[in-house]
Amino acid sequence: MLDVSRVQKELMEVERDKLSGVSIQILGSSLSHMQGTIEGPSGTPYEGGVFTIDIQLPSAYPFEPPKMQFITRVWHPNISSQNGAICLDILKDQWSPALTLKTALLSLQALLSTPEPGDPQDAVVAEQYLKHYSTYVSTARYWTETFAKRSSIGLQEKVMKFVEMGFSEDAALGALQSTGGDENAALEKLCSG
Amino acid sequence: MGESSPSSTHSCEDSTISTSQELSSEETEPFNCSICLELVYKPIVQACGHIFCFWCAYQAMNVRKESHCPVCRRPYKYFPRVCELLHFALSKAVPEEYERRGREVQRTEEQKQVFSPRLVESPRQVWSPRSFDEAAGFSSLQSTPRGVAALTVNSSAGKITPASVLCSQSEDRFEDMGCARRDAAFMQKAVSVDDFRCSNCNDLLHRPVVLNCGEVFCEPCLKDTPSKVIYCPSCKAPHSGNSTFICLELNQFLEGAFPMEYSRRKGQHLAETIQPAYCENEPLGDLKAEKVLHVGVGCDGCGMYPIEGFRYRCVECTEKIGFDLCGDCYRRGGNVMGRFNQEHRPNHHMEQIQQRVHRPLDFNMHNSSIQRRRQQQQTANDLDDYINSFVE
Ligand SMILES: [Zn+2]
Ligand SMILES: [Zn+2]
Ligand SMILES: [Zn+2]
Ligand SMILES: [Zn+2]
Ligand SMILES: [Zn+2]
Ligand SMILES: [Zn+2]
Repeated sequence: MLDVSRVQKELMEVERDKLSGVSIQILGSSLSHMQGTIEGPSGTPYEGGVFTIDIQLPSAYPFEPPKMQFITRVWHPNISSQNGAICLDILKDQWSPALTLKTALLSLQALLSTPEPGDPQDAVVAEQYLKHYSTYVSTARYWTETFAKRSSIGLQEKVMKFVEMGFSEDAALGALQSTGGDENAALEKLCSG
Repeated sequence: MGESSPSSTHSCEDSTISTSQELSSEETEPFNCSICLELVYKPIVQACGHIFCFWCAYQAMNVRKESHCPVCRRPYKYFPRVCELLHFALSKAVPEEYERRGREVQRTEEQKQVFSPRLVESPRQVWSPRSFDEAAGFSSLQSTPRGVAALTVNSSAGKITPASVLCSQSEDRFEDMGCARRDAAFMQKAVSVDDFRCSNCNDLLHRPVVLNCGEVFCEPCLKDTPSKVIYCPSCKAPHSGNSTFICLELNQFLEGAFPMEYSRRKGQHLAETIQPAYCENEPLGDLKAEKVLHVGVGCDGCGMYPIEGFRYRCVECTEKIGFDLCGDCYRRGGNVMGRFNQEHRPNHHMEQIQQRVHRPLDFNMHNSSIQRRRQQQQTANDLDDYINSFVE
């Protein structure tokens, strides 16, 4: 059984500490599925981007690591450019129950600033990083511009736009959340059913 | 609690990226458990000095091999006994919060039908000077009525942040969501020197070290350990690891609570240079050919977890958790108290448990890890059922 009390405490701590640049939203009624966002670290090709991460909590959490995966597409040696899978030790065998969702998200932020091409999740990106570094930088920056830039309007306004188009509020919110706030992708999703 | 299997999309090696990250918890409240993020209940102090709740410490252990402290990652092999000194001190310092934690834990224990040890205040504390005064009708300035500490716990409650809307629980739930902050200064007023005496010198603890048996000593009081293994001076139980670490959180608390007495103690010990007790060999350094590993089973005597080598199980104890001893503790005999709520008696019949998992301890053997993995997988299924009953 999931330790609900601990997860709630964690969420309150994230709420309290606005400066960390990390946020977490709950999806659905249980606490086992949520979505986190981190800001791209400055001085990196990810600067200015906001990255959404899918978070699933196993029932043995915090004694087992949370399952995390990038929803926002990102060009990085340790993150799959295909499906957002992450290669990070603390999300695997180096997890400790003293770590929290916030520290895990902050570690992902740190991973964005310090790629480890020697231990790649995405071999193509890693090879580019090692052999054509400047190409890597411009590709990563392009991906950040394309997929991770939030338009200036907030989530609520986006939802209202969809509601005006005739979609239900729940469906609009769900679609926007699952696409990391990308309106076009959300619309596609809503139209495809 | 088993190791999670890597999903098929992961192509990278499991553990090469290292994030040299401090695992310290966010919370700064004194005596918070960094696993459940609540006030520690029935505190277990690991050999490294970090404090966790009884059940949090138990669940954080690796069922198959040596465990690592969730905070500092130092390895350890023993599941320590509850630190009773800290348990009773906390129940005085923050009575209401501690009682609430007790009720919560009890509810969970009843659901799972496994129980932590029942703790009764020891005679040592009963004949301490303060208790004597109280019994005689003198209430000292140090002893504070129960309500006072409770007052601080509640004082800052009521400030509900947006996220607490998530708490769909009853009202007193809001407090334990961290809205109320534990106040070190107030905790310190509710206790006296008598709550923090060394098991060896009986004076106020200075640089406290909590041993595997749960007893607390001044670090200098453990310095004269003659053998390579550290044994508890009072109960003779072996300590986990070959060096002692002071419990920093308790030390800090003592320094703040009793500044005068603490500096007096510091002066007393200053003459001797303070060095951590250190020796070269592990207490269990006997890495001969092969040892049997009893996955997920700990020794109720010394706390070794999991048991390596011989294992004996009581056939008369009926508690779900069972009662087990390692070979050494079985041979030593005597009246061994369980680490949980077992009502084991010395006359209970014990049986040797047949070997289930062989763990070759030859580090250079090429296929040993493959063999080990295969063997672990074989036993994994029935073990997981067993383990899940505690973890869930
Ligand atoms: Zn705990
Ligand atoms: Zn530690
Ligand atoms: Zn002492
Ligand atoms: Zn002892
Ligand atoms: Zn033993
Ligand atoms: Zn028994």
